[in-house]
Amino acid sequence: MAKITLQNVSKQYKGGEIQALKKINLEIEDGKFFCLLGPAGAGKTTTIKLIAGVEPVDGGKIYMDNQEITDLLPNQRDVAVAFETYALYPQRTVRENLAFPLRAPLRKKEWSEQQIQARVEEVAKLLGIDELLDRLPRQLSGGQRQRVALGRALVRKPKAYLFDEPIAHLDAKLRHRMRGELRRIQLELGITTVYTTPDQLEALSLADQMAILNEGKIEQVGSPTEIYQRPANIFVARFVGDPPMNILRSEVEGEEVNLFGLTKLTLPAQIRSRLAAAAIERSLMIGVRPRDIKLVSPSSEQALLRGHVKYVQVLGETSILTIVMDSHEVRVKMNTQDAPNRGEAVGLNFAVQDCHFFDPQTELRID
Amino acid sequence: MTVITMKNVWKIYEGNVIGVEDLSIRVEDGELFALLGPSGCGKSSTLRMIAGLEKISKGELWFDDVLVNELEPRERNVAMVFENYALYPYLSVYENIAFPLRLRGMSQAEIDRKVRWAADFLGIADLLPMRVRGLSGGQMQAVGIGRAIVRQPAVLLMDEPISHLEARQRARMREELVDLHSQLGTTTIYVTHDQVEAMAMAHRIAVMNLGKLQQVGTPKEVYNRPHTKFVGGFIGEPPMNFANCELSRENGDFYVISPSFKVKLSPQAAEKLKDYHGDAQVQLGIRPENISVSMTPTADSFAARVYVTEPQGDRTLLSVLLDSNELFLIEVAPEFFAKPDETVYLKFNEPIHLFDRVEEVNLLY
Repeated sequence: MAKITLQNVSKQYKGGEIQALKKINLEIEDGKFFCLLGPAGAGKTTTIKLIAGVEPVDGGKIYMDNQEITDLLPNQRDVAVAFETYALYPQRTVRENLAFPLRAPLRKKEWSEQQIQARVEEVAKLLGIDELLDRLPRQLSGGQRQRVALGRALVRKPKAYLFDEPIAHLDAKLRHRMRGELRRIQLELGITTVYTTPDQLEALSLADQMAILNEGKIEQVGSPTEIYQRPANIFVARFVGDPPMNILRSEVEGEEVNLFGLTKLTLPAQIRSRLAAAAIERSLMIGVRPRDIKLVSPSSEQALLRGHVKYVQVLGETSILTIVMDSHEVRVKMNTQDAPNRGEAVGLNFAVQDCHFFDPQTELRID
Repeated sequence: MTVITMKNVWKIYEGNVIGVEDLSIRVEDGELFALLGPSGCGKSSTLRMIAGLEKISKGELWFDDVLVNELEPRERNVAMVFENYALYPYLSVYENIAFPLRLRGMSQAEIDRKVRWAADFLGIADLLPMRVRGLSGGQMQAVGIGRAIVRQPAVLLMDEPISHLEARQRARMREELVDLHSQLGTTTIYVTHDQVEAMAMAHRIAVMNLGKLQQVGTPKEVYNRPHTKFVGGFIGEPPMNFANCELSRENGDFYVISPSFKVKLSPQAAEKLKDYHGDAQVQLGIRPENISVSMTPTADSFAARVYVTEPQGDRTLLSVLLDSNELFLIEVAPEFFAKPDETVYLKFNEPIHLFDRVEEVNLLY
């Protein structure tokens, strides 16, 4: 069990040409499931590598339980890592690959042969690879190899697990199951876990706390609920949630805002005072989640905006509609059975209390 | 403008390996039709037979009233878009799009007119002088599509055209492809393993598994009325839950009974089952959104144990373990909270699906 702290950690590649991490600060609490979420190239894998010690930092310090580990070798850190690229021993069977970390010289005599076999089989069963124990990695599919890599980390009970996109190569159904299993394993063991993913749904599902990384910087840290309900900026607002939050540019006119010149909304007093304080006089970005928009008849008084349905994407129980008005598009998520057809005219309604407000210059949240 | 009809088509590979088994499908003129299934289901073999890239082992393939079994690919007037783009990396975008026209010996003026039309249509006119190498995945696929539509083929075939783009870009491309199709109006067959893609885009979907057609229907039909357990489990995210049950008849009413629950079936279901004399061993199928959860017992509810909860923003996924040790996924409101191992009470809402345990066909349709 361990608290992990990153203090002003920087990392660059290609002689400074690429700034992978720009002085990031993170505190990962003991026993928590912590997700690092971000697009490709955000610095997620780099962060894992630096905590694992497989690459040196270029600046800053890393602590585990308030003890500095910045310069410790990987095997002195007592972490177990699963990378997206499997790094299995090709000439060894799945069983031998899984047992390997338990046989490491550093841990000699910690585990009897019987305990090793029992632990390997337990983990293999958990991951649904117990039928594959005597195969070689090349006889496995990508998804199966990935589960072996994950299993090789899980056989041990280290101070921290570091998982780099560990289920990215599984098919959708299996990914679903593994996500649940990982959450359950972590809850049972209570071992601090750092987990990277580009998939916002995965992060929301798994995390106690999460950080959103973008271009080597941290955009926001919080619980999934905090991040979903109060995104700190437009990047987070659009990265978390699917389909992305609608961001509508509006013009401030006294106590109201004018949306696309099509409708006016009265701003909450709290937002008005913040706008005055921030000297935002003209434009304001208004964010509305696709789930928070209701369709009404275009002739209804409740219709704040009117448009027509450009696409209907049925996802099953829910559908995603793209509504077009003039040159603007808005996405709406709703129940399939109530969804209108393509081409139909519709009215849109949403509540001001469901809106998120952002400064158009800084793109930061206002509330 | 072409109607494609497959009549009892088989693909049998060397060693008597069956790729496609007795497939009969009719794709309507101007339709956007998806072939959906996991890898190895026969969807790509089917597409390749339609393209003429693979021989049909048995059966008939018709384009309108022409039997095309023996026609060469280029005689069929079909164009194909591939997952890996299959472009010439060192040629310009212009030359890549022009390629199929040059093969046909068209005049330079005609080629130029058509290439510019395709590029304008796809919004990639700016890219024409650029080399393909160095374009983004989305741009390359637009070039691949440009090369396919430049000849204005009678049939457009797409093999996983956007499956390896990044998630957000894929979502955008889905809309663009729907747009493209509705403007061109060309009969289009689209192969994908991604049910979201097929559901979001297609007019109708043929779901395939292990070389066999499972069902053809609109997205709503395959979601609401799955003909087989496979379709029920494959379509929908999170997936349908299944439980082994016994079907029993008591005073004209039907019940499904498992170690966890005893559920009375609706009168409509009872009507369907009244002449059923098959095996009493069945599988109940129910979607995650059709289960209600409460913290205290209610009429007709049964107990289950919380495994994990997974918040997803606008909803939360709750997994529970039934007494039968079956894991069920349930969609609940984001406000819902329960601790692992806590007891919750479930109630099934309609629609409940019932599948034969051996044949795996839906007994209620």
